[in-house]
Amino acid sequence: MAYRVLAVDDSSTVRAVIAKTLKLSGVEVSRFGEASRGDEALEMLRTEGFDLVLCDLNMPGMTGYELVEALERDGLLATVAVIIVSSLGNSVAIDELRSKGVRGYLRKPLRPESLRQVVNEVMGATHGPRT
Amino acid sequence: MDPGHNASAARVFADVLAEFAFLFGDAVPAVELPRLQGKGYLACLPITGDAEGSLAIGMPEELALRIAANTLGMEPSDPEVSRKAPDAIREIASVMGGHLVSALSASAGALELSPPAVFPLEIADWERLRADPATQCFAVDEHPALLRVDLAPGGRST
Repeated sequence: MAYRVLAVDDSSTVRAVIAKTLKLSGVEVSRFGEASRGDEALEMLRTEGFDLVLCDLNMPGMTGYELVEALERDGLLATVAVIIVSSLGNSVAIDELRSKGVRGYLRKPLRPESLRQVVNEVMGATHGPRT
Repeated sequence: MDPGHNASAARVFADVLAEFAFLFGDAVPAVELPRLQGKGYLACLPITGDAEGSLAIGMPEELALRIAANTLGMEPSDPEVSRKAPDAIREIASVMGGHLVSALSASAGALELSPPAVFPLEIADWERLRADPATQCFAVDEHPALLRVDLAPGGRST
């Protein structure tokens, strides 16, 4: 199964790394969208269809925390799987985000194997690496 | 600045460079550090919470290009790499900040980060930063790099 993925990070380098890591991980992607800000991502998620969001926390403007809260208010967390991709390792904050409906957490730097594992867990699918 | 914090920062700096950009950094005395040739960058990341201060990373443009190239899996000569170099430094500072906050949480308490900002670094600013005893100096694949963590008991009242 191929997923429509939205990468949300203020760093264009990280968005490029996410695209590359998805490819290396073997996770099938039918559409790859990018947002550099939380409010931009929120608008895209309200108006376009995505299955999976890979989202940073520490962003200028609307942070990843605020984006998750907005998605919770909109009821979108029930239909879109959100995985936090961050260098922050605060377990209390991660637990709080999970309690709101965030499905997974990956710590930067991103690695293909850990991305594949978490996507598989979150989406309930099994993907092998591309050969 | 707690010397333990400096040691943690140096470890995080080396680990993140290796993991993020496949580059190896070794601590060197300031007097042995090569001078900045040409353009440099300084990434600054404010830290708030139970302690307050900042994380600053200085490096020449050549090293920034290497980091961007290695991170993106491209050649340093690629125009895309040149365009993304400041962003790559900003991101590596952000990742280091996140790992540093985790490493210091037991001794410095709960710390929060703001998004880093990147500035051009002139030779005079580089020399000033390098000469400061609180700055740690590194050789990263023969390129010089500067790391400075300032943290003081802070800010937040409970």
